[in-house]
Amino acid sequence: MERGHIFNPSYVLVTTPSLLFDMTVKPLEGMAEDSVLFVNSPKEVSIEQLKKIRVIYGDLTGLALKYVGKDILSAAMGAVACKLSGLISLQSTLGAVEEELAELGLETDIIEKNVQLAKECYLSTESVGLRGLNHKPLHKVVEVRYLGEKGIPDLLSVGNTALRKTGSWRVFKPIVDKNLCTACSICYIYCPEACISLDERGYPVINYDHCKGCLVCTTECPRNAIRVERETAWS
Amino acid sequence: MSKECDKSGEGDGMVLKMLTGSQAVAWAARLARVDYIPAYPITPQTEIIEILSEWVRKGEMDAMFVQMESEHSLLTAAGTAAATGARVFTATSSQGLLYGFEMLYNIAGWRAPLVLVNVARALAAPITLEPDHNDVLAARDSGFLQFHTENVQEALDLVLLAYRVAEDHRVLLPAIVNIDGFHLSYTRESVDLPEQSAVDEFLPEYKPVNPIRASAPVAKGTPVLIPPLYSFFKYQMHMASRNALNVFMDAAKEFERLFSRTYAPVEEYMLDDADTVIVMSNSFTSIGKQAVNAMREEGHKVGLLKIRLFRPFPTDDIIKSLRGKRCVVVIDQNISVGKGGITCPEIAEALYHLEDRPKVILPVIAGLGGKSISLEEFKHAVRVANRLASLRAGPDGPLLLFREDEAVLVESLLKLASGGQ
Repeated sequence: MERGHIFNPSYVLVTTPSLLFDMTVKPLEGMAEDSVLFVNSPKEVSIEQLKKIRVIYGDLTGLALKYVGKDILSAAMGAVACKLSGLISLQSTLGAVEEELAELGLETDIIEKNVQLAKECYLSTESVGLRGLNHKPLHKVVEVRYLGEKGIPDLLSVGNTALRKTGSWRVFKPIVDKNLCTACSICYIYCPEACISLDERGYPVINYDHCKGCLVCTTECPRNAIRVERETAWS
Repeated sequence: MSKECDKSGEGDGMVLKMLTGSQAVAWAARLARVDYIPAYPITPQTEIIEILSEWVRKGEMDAMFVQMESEHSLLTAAGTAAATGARVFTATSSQGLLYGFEMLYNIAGWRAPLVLVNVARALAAPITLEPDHNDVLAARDSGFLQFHTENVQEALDLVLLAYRVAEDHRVLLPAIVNIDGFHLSYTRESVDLPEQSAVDEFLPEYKPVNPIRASAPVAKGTPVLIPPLYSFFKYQMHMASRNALNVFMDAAKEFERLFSRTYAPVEEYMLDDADTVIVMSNSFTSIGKQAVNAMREEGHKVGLLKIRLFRPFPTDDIIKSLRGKRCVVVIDQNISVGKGGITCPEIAEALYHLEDRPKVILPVIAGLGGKSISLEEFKHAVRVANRLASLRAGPDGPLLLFREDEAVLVESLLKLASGGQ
């Protein structure tokens, strides 16, 4: 049993491919050749590290949109994890979804939609069974050096928030239709992330590196000039 | 995943549920039939009071739930309610515990038993949500009994045991039950949920001593400006706390009879033939046990001692487990800045006068702010202790565990924070 941080996972489930490349999350760390990676993605992702491990893809976001109408993935991911392990029956999985969502006070029809979602995820996933992994001695113990004034937790670099590409969180992408847009700047004012700037003629330009896809702009646009597409660009 | 199922052949009514640590301690409060729950939210504790407020709202629990305006008020309300004879449950964490800190000493001084669950979270600054034990151990000297838990079952059971010990007239002191934030609070584990009737048998109604009544006023916590009087009452508290050791043993026997689970002040893991013993507490102990298994496979005689009851300090149990061992590696998931770990000196003091005391007692700091402890770090600490024993030398200071991969990450983040300078 490992508790808390899992150094040598048999399985890793990743809710969005953009997390595969995140330097602080590092979901592939500790994975060995016989471990299994499940990625929620409608298409395959090509990165070098993935060649050594077994990768399974499933479009859980698509299924969640189909069954629940929202990109809420907990029941779907849970069902996939249960099936992958080969240890937990369909009945137990669906019972758990039902009970845990009821604990949150959700209404019966929402719970039922989640149960249907979990069922399809469970049935469409292949069981790979639980694998025992040998511990890989990856870690070297080191001494922490005293850094004097550099060891004080002061943040000196201003404006570093921009370094975090929060656009990777996006599930839906807002796209401005220049033919319908009247350059009223309402989206520019409402964007909570200040991701929309105006070009020299006053038309909005969305910074997709940082747009989280909250779609406030789409909701506020008086001309319905901002359409929405599902994000699938991560590859 | 909480499908109810009867374990065949183990009597009727045994219910296994998948519960988070938060749910488990909420269930313990419910099964203890608490009368009063003063509450204030703080991550990672809030789930506990959310569950309890929902049960009270739905009428599933016959208790009064009050949302206070701070932890200081919360603890004041909890202590004063306990002084009227109410059975009181409350929970907090980290900064919240420290914000209410002066009331801890007052409640203990009133000799008002209640149970407070602390969901461990490291203290600011720098701020974090991840666990270590500087919050709960800050309350070490307050007079509260302290129970530290490794898993979700233990969290539930020790809340019940804490009420029984705290309310015993040989003790009459409040208790803290510690559960680690995230690692227990939000982690679902299989829990045997006790039957209400069995809990009622284990925990009879709380019989307060000199309860405050409108019709019969009692002054509690009065000023004692005569110094020997202050000393006298503090000594009384100390002796009451020491009594809790035997009271706990009696309660644990009764608990085992009713619930078939055994609890002692400490838990030994592969200790019989061990020459090196790792001493730990709380949820990371599970990782320590895994490290012991791995080192055993390589032929090293390593064992682990888990401290479950921290106040009163189980000196005799610790002596019994550690005397005659070659090396003791005390892993403190806390730091007394400028000294080292908080529990290590207590272990060393317990062993000092023995002729067969260990050759080396190595103080180790690990897991601060939720930092993971890898197998290599456990091995390194065991190696350092054994090397010192061979050299007949003592440690220079606490071993501050850290890894190369972590150092690389920290270096890159420091660079980012300094703007690349």
